[in-house]
Amino acid sequence: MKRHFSCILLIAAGTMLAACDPTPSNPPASDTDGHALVLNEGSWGGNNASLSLLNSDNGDITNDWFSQSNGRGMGDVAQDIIVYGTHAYAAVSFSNSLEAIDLATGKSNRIDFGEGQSERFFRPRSIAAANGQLFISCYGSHSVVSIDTLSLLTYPAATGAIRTCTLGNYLPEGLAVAGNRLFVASSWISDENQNYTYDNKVYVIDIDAFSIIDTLTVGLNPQQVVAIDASHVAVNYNGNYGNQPAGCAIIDANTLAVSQTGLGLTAITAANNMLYGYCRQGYGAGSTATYWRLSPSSSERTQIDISVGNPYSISVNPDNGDILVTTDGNYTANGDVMCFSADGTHKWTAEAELLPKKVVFFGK
Amino acid sequence: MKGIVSLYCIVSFIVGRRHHPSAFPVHLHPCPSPRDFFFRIILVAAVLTFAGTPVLHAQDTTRHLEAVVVSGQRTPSTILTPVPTQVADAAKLEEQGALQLSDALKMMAGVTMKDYGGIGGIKTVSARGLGSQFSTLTIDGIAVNDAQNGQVDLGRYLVGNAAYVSLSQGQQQSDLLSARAYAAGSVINLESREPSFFMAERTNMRVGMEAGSFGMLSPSLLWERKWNRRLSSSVWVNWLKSDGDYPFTLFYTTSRTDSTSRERRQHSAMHMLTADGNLFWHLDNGDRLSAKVHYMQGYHQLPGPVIYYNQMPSAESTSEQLAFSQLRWQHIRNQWKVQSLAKLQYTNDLWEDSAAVTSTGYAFNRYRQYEAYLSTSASYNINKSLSARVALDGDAGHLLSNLSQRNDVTRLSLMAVAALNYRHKGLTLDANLLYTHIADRVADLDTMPLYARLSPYAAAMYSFGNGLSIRYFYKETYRAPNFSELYFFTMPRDLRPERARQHNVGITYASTHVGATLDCYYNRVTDKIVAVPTQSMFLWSMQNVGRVHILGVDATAEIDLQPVSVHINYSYQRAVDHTDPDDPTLGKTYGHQIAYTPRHSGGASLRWENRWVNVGTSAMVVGQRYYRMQNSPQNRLPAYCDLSLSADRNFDTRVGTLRLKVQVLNLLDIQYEVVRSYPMMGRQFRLSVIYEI
Repeated sequence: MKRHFSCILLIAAGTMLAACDPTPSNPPASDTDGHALVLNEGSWGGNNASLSLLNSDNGDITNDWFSQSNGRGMGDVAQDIIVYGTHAYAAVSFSNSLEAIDLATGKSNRIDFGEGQSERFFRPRSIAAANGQLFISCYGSHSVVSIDTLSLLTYPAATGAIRTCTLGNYLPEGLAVAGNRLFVASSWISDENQNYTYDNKVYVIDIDAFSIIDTLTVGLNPQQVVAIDASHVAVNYNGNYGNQPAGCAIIDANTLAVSQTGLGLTAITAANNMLYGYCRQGYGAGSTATYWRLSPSSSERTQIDISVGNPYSISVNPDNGDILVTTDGNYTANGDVMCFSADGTHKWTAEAELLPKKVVFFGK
Repeated sequence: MKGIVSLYCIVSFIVGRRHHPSAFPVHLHPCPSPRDFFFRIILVAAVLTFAGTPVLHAQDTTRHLEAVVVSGQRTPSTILTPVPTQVADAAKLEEQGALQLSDALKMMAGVTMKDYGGIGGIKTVSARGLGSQFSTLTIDGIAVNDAQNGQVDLGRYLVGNAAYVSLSQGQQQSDLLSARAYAAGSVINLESREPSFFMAERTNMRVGMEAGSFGMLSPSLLWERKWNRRLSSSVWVNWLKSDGDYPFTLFYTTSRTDSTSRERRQHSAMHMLTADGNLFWHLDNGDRLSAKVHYMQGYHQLPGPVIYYNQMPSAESTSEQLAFSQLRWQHIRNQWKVQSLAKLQYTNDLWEDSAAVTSTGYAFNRYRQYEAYLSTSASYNINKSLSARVALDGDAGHLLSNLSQRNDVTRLSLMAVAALNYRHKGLTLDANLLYTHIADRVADLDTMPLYARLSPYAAAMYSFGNGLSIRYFYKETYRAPNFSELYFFTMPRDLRPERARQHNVGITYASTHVGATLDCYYNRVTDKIVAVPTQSMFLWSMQNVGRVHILGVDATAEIDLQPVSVHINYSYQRAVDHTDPDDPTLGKTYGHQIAYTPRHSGGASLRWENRWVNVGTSAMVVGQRYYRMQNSPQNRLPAYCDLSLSADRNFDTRVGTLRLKVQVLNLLDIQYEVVRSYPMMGRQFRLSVIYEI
């Protein structure tokens, strides 16, 4: 007994310490009253990608909403989310998941993008949707895949009609649909010695044939691709972080002509046939950013009076034109979602989770 | 026959229940107990001298007693020192079943271990919240350097041939310290065992085999030789291998109340060969020279973090080679003590990923480091109470890598110390000033970083004479940025060294059966180097923006109630971010406990020795902590307790001693992680068989 006493004491101490940890008091969300979802990217190896349910009218936010609704975490590094029909679709890159979230209940169906496929990793990166199809750019296989959403939702595993369009040597990034065409950014690759080289192209893929019909030169290191309207697509590019500057190009989806906006937009989004974006200068504390609204042809441009210095993404509420800027939290702390009206007046700020990457809106 | 039996009885008496004749069970109290090896020798010598029993030569009337060289190594004092010091001697390391250096340290107070799991997982230690790079590892007093990332993987150093492992907060208490040893926030010293031989023996051999769960195997061989009265040598070879495919429970929410699955760790195997050769020479004039040659070669598969839903195993691994040779020469006279140290080291590290997102699917990093080190220190007794010390160190390190930029880096360091020590009756006063000068040469940089700093230290201790002592120290330490922070994947920038200021106040007490220490400390780290991502995910901006304040308490107690001995320690650490309360982003972590630092932690071990089976148990309890700087519920890691049990027994045969030991680690099979997404091993068994002659 004597020899066990100290162990018992210590185990008791340990249990008490664990018990001192109160369970989180966030109630599970039973209805999706918020009308907006914030996708929190999380950190690599943290398994802390998450969704926050947001009320975009007043800024009420419920963090860790995905875990509470599904009894499981989202996984590791979520990189894109879109709303399409009754569902939201999220790409969780390192977990090789596509999560199909029912917006009415919050329950999600996980579609596996890893096992069972011929390639080693798909690593889903960005999502676009049109004609009942989801288009997903994949790091692991240097390709874009197209998945039929109806068959996707009735099976638990990655079955259904999957078409693959293999791209070139460089990794694909953002993608968007305009008209009957899919535009995919071709971005960067690293060699064995970890030297990085950048491409400057956008692939044009016909949705029906699902093959590449053209390759356009836009600028070095293209990132996001957003559809402004049915005939205009914007691509921002980061340059080489040295002597080649960042920029933003606009592609005419019909003629495939490329024009430059002359603005180095770090992140972009589109809503109500207008292009929005910001130029960020510097990093860490003390960085600054300027915010812009452009017409599809980029002939009209206005600078919006917002002064958030450390933005991580920009989203626009299509119902009222509100601009939602998320902050990067210095990659250490939780980021914030800051809401501004169309003229730049600050409305509310809500704290999300780690690296809020995108805000998407769904119907009331 | 009678002579042999008598000899056997004497040997048993002296050796007692310790397995190794050279184990020097130094206890905490200053007065040795009769159980000490040394006293037994004296006793036997006395008996032999006065009892009149001819032991060695039955027919001779004269007695020839072989000169007995008692050369047990002194372990540092943990009680009569102004600097909080904890020691695990060879006997303690055996009892704990310690294999790697990390095993010895994790049971010490004030230590936060970062362990990536399994035997092969990287293990680093942070003492008193300063950060792992403020701790310096020394082997026989000579520092082990890794200029590339400033951290040493403590899992790569084994304690099988150690005399002791010590941890000193602040700096070590010694007359002869290299300047480098003055320059750390805390010093971990791994002291090699100097062979000691009983009676007329000239050779000691120890063959051991340890086997454990998940394919763990560790054969080892120690060969010690006494060449003559003055010269002895030891050679220790160990091969360690582990498959590391342990099962674990994966929790899919941070609250651990929802989905779980049972998985198995993949791609986690390792093997490592260590060879250590030592020469000990006691010169005729009293000088001591020791030389070491050390070689390590290893291969570690890196399993990476466990990623939810992604079953694909990692394809990363590292191969490493380490070779160093070092020399220590000590010259001790009445008033003068001089020590010289020299070291040469070569390291070759290869990191590979055969499933990388690159054009070929393969990526690698190769680093080769060459280091040369020279140190001289001297201590002079001005009078009975006052002594002055100086030390001068020079170090040159050269790093070559396969990166396309800044792949050829050299660092030259110069350190100089002047110190004064005053001892009178119960009072000890210490003060020193350290000057550090570091200059880098980089093949493709225009401006070269240069650091020059002056760091003071002061300490005081007063012993009341009844076993109670009080102590205080203040120390300033600078940590120069390492190569990764300055040159690899970072934007070129002026970086200042991190600065740590430590205050410590403590009480120690020692009696015949109890040794206890209680220390309260307040540390501040400023100019902490923080990695800030830029627009490019491959380029980081390193900035001196961090500030951390640490308030803590370390308490240790050793109770020796033979045949039971108990050791307890408890640490309280309130280490909080103090960077900027007003900034909208930095304000979110202000006042929050820094990452991976539990507020409460402790450990206890108990050992019961008896005629049949010696039994030991030890428990390590770590309170809840956060894996990121912001203390939100999603970032919380729960508390855990790791309990282990062991049983061992010696069998004395005519020729040698056989020691059998069986251990159960993590007896309660608690699923915990030290680093987020790196699950630790559950219940595991180890069996070790050692034969010594």
